[in-house]
Amino acid sequence: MTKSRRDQWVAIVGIGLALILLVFWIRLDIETGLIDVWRRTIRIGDALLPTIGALGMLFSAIWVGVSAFRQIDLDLSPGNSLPFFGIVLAIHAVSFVMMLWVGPVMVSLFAAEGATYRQLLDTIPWKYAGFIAGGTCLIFALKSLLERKMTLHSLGIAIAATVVIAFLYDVPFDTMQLPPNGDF
Amino acid sequence: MGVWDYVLAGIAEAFLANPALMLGPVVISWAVLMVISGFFAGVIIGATPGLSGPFGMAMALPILISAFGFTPDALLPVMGFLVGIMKGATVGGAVPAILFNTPGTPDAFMTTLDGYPMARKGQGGKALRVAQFSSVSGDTFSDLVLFTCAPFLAITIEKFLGLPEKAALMVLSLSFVAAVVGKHPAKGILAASFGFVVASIGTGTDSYPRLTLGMDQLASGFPTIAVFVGVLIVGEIFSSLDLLWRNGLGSKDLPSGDLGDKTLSWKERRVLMPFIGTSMVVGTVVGALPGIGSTLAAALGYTAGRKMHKGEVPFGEGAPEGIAATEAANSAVSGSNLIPALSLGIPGNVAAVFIILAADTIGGFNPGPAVFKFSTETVNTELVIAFGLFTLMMTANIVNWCTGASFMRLLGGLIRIPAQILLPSVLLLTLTSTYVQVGSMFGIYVTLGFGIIGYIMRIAAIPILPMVIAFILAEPLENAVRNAFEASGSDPWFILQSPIGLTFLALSAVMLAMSGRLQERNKNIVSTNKDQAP
Repeated sequence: MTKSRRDQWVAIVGIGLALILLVFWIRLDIETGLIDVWRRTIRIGDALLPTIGALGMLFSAIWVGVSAFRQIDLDLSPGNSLPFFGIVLAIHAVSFVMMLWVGPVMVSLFAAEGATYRQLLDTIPWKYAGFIAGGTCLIFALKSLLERKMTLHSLGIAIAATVVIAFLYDVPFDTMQLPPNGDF
Repeated sequence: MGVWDYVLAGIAEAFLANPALMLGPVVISWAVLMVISGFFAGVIIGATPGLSGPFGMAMALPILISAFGFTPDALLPVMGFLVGIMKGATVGGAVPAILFNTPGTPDAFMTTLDGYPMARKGQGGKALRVAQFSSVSGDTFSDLVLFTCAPFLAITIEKFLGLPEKAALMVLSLSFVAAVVGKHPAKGILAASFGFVVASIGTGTDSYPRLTLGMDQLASGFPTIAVFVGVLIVGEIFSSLDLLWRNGLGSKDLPSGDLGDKTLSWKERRVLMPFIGTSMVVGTVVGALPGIGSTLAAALGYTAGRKMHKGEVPFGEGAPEGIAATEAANSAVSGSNLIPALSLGIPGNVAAVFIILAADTIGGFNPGPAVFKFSTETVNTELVIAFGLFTLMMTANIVNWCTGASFMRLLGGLIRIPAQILLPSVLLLTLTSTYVQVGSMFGIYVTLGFGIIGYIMRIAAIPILPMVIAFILAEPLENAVRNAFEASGSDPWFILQSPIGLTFLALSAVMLAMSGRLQERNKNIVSTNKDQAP
């Protein structure tokens, strides 16, 4: 992508966001206007700050756009980041799903009948199940992506790193809850 | 209480309150213990390529708050640890810069220019000593300037500025940051405006929280820590992952990191002093201006040093004076950067953002002019905390003077964690940190969301700092404008009625108009020095 093309995209996205804010979001989702009258006192309404923000975005995005047409074009870094970043986000999604659901699924499969994850989330091994599964998945997948290969060595490192992080937060502090235990 | 009573109370608060260890008659407080721990942790973090002070601060903050709680007693230990990390990371960044030609922190880039050639000549140990001596000199000088200037600045502001002028001053500060940070002033304004919009969500004075789209989770706004950690830390991690992916993992054959000659005589130190003296003044002045940052300070210090230098070894080929000029300048930024943070509540850099965030989360200390109110009738506890913090900063400097050089040498051959292991692990650590503070997966989702925003902003060359500062300033700015408007009898031109306010606004406009030239000049200084790298 060239520098001017990048800045044109910045301008388009900035102008678009600013217009959505000014035309729809601020009008429909704030109950007071720019100026509000309360008990016969004129005061500043809740809409003023976001309106100034949106106008600032609109003005600066137009400025960026105008500059983009004037500047000398330079080729930026080679390669497209979009596929890589898409994979990174997919890894996060899978890891979070594992983090949230591995614990409850394990409880339903292996714990005593009738027990729920909520009842067991402060006991070993259930309290670590989701975090270790999701965290290991995140580290292992990202490391493998960067190295472009999957190895048992990477898996071992991912497990070790996740266990260290879990103990770092959980062992010294009784009040801390590892993800996702606070959600249950 | 008089001025000296406050100073003594601050020292006592730092050293005696909240004892952690009692070794006979000697009491070691939690605050002292934490600032020392923070310093050593900071050196390790700074010496690890891929990590930086703000990473460590973001990871430590939730742990510290969980450990010390939300009481006023927690303020000094927590802020002490963060300050320790900030100082340690600054000096630690020189270790990989000198030994492996890899700056541990961005501002240590200039250190590689002379540090690595020295290491290749078998003078790695000497180069580390020069870096530590210059860094701690610059840092100590900058702290002394902070201790004297911050109270005067705050008192002046409190005495002469009313609400409209304070609002105009915040606009001026933000305009300055938007104008000098990044590659295009319009992008700085875009980032700051976006920060205002994000800060608007879920806040306001009406009973209906604004811009929440009816979502209950947004009724109190975005969790501040999730926004900061997302845009500053996770965005940076995504950006580094992307870079690694596109450029490959690189060679695994690192230089040996042999320290060789480790001595630095008093005679050699005397030769370095003019370079250190010039650079620490440059760094302190640059650091006091919000948003400029230590990279430019290092570049300016290096440029000034090169003009002064008449020694045998030219700059860029292993001159100890080059390391001294760079390290004194970039370290002198850290203390003076807290001048606007503590006296105005305006963070000058990312480290100051986390210190303000810690104070805000714990409560009982609101950085701003009111902190330095020397009330005689009642005790201003915030002022006692401020002097306690200054005491801890000097304690960290003393630790740095006494042990910094040995600790840096010790780390020389240790820290070589491959980026493909370090970055995913730090990412998980950061997300976990946010979770333990916010208490739900919503915190992780917000962190990730702002991480994506931070990554896109980096790709689009939109500076992050104006957004973060606007997010912090939005509430005080809105409150100041609301109160000033009502106090003026709803005069829409209230801010223009005051000559000072008008001057600040005019300066803001001039600043933005001239920003193109300012940025061009800053860019030239940094790139000129980078181009001369061997």
